[in-house]
Amino acid sequence: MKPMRDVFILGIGQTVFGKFPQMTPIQLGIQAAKAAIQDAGIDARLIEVAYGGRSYDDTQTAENILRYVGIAGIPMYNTENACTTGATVVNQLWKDIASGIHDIGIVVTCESMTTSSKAGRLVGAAEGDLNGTLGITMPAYFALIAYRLMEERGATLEDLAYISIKNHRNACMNPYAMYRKDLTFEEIVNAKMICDPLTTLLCCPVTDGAASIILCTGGIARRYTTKPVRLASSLVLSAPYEAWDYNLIDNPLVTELARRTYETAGIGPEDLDLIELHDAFAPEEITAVSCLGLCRTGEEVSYIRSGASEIGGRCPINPSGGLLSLGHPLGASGARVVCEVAQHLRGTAGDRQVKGAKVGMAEMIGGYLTGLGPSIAGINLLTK
Amino acid sequence: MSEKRFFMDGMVRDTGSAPVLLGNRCSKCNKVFFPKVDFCPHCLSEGLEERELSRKGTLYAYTITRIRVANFEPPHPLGIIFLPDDRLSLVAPLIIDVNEKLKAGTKMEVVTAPLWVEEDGTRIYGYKFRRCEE
Repeated sequence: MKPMRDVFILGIGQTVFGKFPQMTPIQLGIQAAKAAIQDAGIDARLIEVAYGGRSYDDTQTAENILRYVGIAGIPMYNTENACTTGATVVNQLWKDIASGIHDIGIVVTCESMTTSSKAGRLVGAAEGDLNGTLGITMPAYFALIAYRLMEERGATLEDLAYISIKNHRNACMNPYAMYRKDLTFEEIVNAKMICDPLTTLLCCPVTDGAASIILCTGGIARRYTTKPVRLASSLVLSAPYEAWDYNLIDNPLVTELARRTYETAGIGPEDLDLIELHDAFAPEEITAVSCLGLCRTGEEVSYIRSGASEIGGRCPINPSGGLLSLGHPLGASGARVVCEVAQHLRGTAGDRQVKGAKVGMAEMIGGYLTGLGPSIAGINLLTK
Repeated sequence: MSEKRFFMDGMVRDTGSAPVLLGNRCSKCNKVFFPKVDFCPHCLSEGLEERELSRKGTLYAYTITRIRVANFEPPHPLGIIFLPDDRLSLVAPLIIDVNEKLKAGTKMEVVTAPLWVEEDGTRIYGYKFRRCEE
């Protein structure tokens, strides 16, 4: 698809990501939406279209949030796409503006994992799924990935722990993280084991959160800011059938999605200044580096050990602290990572700022629970 | 006397000595599937023939779930077994010593095994893989 117009990020807003069982997901969503509108500096009545993203528990996400912030009587759509929900609604709004259907719109996402019907349980497979009946769960699937990384690519427990240590260290600088605590290797390996070798501290915590983004045309953006951040590429892709052939490390879905992103945006992985990606489980961040083209297949471990993913490194990964620290309220994470990358490109990311950031990627991948495979992914690419 | 039944119909042929898993093969592109499919997702053909999967394979990956999940008490070993003759991988519970570390490539074979007991006492059976010699 050839977009007709450039699309810009005008406003971003998110809640703290943590445990808020006393708040409904709608209340969280209202906080994020109000923050995005205030950040944009616009009258809420300018918004022409809205997309709501939430994976669990209720309908009419966008309508119910936006009625409390002064937005009603416009087209509204609600979307569910597993972990990629947030990235998907950003993509849907991007398409509307790029193609000329609307000039300005809002994405509102929210999720309460602590109060959801799925809360507190090992996220299991869809009803009737064969592998789920045999005991497959999300953590088990990623524990299998960790096993292959260790057997096939030379990863060690220290490498897995490093991802969690780095991301928790980053979260200490993120005011949007409820949990800001450095972790040690000993704490990680001595935490409760879920599925060998993944302990709880190699898995994301159960949290709640909301994030909201306002996108618009260049003409509107220039009326409100001198430094607009461009949403240069926005793509969503479902997995090909071969993604379910149990090559656990080399994920054809992410590889293809990244390839299309670079082609659309006219850049290469070497041009990325930072990445926020789906690290619900520590091994994911290790497998991602080759799928995203940061290194060659087979070189994941040496790449991670090089320090390239640190803030200050060649291409910081998850400077926010990632899902490992902030948790994964499913509907909201995909939007939160876009907000995070936008902050770095604006230069407003505070202590965790990636200096001079001009190109940032926000990646999400989801599914895994029907037919044991990654099923849907989304990449939003931001440029300054 | 409590009943005994297989956890899913049509997936296993119990030959008495050892179970045989039943998949199907696309007669157009030869790809093998387990469980059976109604059409070939690779070439979209509907020409599928039943295929008995080989009983032996190699361990591709495994983990041990340490908390209760589905109908299983911990520790619950779960693996992905690659069947080279069928060029197919599948998920299965494993019968292994949880204190022993298994290398990828370990030779495994399929057996019929109890899975869990329902509330009414019905014993549910299924397939698991265990180590075997050549």
